[in-house]
Amino acid sequence: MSKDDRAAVQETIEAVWDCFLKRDPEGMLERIRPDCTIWDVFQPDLVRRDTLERYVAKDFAQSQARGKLTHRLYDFVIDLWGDTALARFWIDYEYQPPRAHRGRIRITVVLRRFPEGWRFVHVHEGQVPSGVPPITS
Amino acid sequence: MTTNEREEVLRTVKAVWERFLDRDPQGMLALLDEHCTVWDTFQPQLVAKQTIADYVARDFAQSAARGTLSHTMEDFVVGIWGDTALVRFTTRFSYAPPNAISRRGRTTVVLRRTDDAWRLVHVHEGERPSGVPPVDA
Repeated sequence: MSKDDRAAVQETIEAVWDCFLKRDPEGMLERIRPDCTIWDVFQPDLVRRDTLERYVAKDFAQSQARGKLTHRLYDFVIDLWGDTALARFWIDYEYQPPRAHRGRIRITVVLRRFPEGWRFVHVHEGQVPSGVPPITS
Repeated sequence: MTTNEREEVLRTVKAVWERFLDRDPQGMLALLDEHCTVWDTFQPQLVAKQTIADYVARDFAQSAARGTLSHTMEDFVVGIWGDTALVRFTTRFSYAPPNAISRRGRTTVVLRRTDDAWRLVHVHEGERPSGVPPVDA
């Protein structure tokens, strides 16, 4: 894996979340393959080709209904082989009042390299678990 | 993707969880690539190469401290390109007393084919979310 490849993958990922901050659904969809699948942090069912655009619109709408959003992506672990990239990282996010909400999530993104560049083929977002449930007896 | 490839990939993925049910940590580890990473359903930090044997041992220990485990895997969505496979599925598990718990989950598995065998290179497990947090402040 060259440093350039790794940087290009990370830049693509950061650009997608940047589009979310900038309320730019078209910019986001440009970097996501039409057949991309998503386990969203809030929505329980797998987002697929037939529901992708509706999902993006709904996600932008719920975001817009809250306050100003800030987030931080960090601790990237990226592997590349052939035209595939696998990235794991964390996001801390925070919505300001009036509808304040904050959280930390764990993310996996799988990307493939196409002539137009790296594109998302799968995203898995999830809340951070609090640990192994108690063993009391 | 051929039918045979899809079946091989699914057989490998299902075998990992069967090894867990059979209390066979070595059998499970044999199906994981030496660089496999895991976002576990209970443990918050990313499990990486250096800690995977400890993680598997701890996971088997917490499981052994509970009652009989029932586990189902459903709704498989499989993509294969070259020597990479991407599998998404839903899970339900339930431990009988003592220390009973039950959960519904969503899982992503990434596999690579090396030496004609599929091995897991990443697992992302997480609980099924309940929906978008209310936006009515």
